Amino acid sequence: MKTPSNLDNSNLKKYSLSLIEADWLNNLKKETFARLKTQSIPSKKDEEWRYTNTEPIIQKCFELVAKKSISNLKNGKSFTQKNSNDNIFIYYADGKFCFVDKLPPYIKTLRNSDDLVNFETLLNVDDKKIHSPFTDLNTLLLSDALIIETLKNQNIDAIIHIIICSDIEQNINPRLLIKLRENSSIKIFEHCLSSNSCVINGLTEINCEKNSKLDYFKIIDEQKDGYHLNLSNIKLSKSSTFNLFSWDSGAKVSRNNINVDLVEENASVNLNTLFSPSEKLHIDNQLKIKHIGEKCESFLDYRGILKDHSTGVFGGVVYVDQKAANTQSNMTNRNLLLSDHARINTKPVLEIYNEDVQCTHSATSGRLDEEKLFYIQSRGIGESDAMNILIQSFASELVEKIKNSQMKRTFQEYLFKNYNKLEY
Amino acid sequence: MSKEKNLLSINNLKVSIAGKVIINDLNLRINHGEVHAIMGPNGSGKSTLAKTLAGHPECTIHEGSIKYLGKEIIDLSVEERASEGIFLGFQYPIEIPGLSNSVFLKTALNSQRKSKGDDAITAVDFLKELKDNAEIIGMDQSFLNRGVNEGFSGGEKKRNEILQMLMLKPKLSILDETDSGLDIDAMKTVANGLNSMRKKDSSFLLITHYDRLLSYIKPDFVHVLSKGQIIESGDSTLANQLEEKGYEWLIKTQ
Repeated sequence: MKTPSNLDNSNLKKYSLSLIEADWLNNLKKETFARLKTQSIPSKKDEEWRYTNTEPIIQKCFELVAKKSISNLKNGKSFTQKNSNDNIFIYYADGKFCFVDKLPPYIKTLRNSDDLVNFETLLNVDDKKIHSPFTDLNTLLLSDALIIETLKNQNIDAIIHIIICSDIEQNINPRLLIKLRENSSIKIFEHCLSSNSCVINGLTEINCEKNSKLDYFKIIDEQKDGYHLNLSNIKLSKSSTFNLFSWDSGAKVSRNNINVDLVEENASVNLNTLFSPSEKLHIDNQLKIKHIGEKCESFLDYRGILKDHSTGVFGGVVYVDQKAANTQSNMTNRNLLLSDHARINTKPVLEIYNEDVQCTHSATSGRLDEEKLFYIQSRGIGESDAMNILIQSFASELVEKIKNSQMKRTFQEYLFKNYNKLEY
Repeated sequence: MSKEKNLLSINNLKVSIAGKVIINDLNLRINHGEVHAIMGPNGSGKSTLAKTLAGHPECTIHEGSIKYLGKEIIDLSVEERASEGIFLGFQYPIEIPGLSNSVFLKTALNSQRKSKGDDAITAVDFLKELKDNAEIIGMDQSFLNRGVNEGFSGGEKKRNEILQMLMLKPKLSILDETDSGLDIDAMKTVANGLNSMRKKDSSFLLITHYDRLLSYIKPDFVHVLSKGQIIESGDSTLANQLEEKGYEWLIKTQ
């Protein structure tokens, strides 16, 4: 089996340590580098990576390291959007989190903060968890990190926009640390917009304390020539809520790992995702929901719309611990295959060790329903419009669940961008 | 009255679905403003006839012709037939969650107008007409913004078919068992809708099992379909006879 050491990684260490000057961070990077050398690249023999070839991603990543691609993007040059009561804009470009206006006190970046102890603790916490070559690469290549940390009882109305962009091909390694204190709430919108052949390898740690609520929105767009990887680890304490609405339009390889631990009672997670690859793009969704606390709920609604020669994967595991009585869980994956060449592999799994639970799962895949098409056409609507209507209604059902009106509009506009709005 | 005397003229029609012949040598003429009822036992081909007229792709036509306003329509697409004024009220209306009822209707209406070279209807006119028609068939306004037929009861779905019919104003409405699943009150409101269009010279082909609907909408002709053929035609009294004696009586005398 190949390991990253087979690749020319002589540049990697030097490059990694040159990115940011901080002894504690460079020590962490040295440890990470030593470990990475001993690791294997996940291969198709690993069940979790069965349908996704990681080799081209690793190759591209090392190629970009060797090139030492640094963007010429002038800090803040094209970032003109001003913050307001409703929106705060943060751009991740050129290896840095950039912003036009001053950030509110609950948002800190590694480069602009003197609160390094906090960063050190948070980055190290992750270190105790299971590592993969990709999380290690994120740590090695990171040159900045973002912490969003609410105060107790703080309800933030503004939407925090995190826009990931690049004007050249490069490694992009966003690292987000999000911590919600008791009784607080916040809304975050992560928008991946980098039309070059970048490797985005993001790592997000989320910790929701008692009674807190995080609404997370994410759109992955314009990645046709690049690779996109993301791992999110989410820990939910008593009565906390994590809601996700995401739309992934795909990359050469787009891989989304979401691990949610519902560790205390009454926590709730809702994951709503549309994935719509076209051409030869590939999207792989891997979810692990772990019910540990009692009376927690998890709802997963994953919808694929696959065109051309694209491929998709849904791997969902809902694990219910022996202690997790009164668990409620529903996992669905529905897929529209719009071409004979599009493929989907779906595998929803329930692992239940407590009898007092309500858990369901389902997966369906197929073409557009002929009877529905006939019904719409029989009212005078042409075939291509009728198909468009059916695709839109399939996506729209999920978008309509968004409660925040601004975000709902953003997703609706994205829907119309992908599937022409009917002009009537 | 239009120049063409016959609105619809079906001659020697032979249709199969998945290789099985369902309709064989069927002949039928419908004039402007007439109401025809087609009755017959299960499996006699009633729904296939309805779907064939609307252009369902699974119905293969082997022989015969379907002339509508004097023009052969066998080669017309589903949407072209609709724009020409043929409407099919579905026996089992389809649910389309995520598409609102009113957006669907407006898109349909404007698609039809566009194909005729007419301008799109204004939002104000559309909403007014929609409200008026919803009132005629006793449909609550809240249904208009829900997903098409999403979570509607059987009766509500059928009312929604009639609402679509009233909005699209077809010349020929083929209603496939629109009466099934309706209670008496719903049937009366549906009949009101039909009768209001009948006054405006619209024609109807009503496919039904029972004569219940026919007591509210008196047909000009009643036909009995058996094994893909019309075996008996008569006036509205034929429906009453069928109700008394059943279909066996006719089929046996063949």
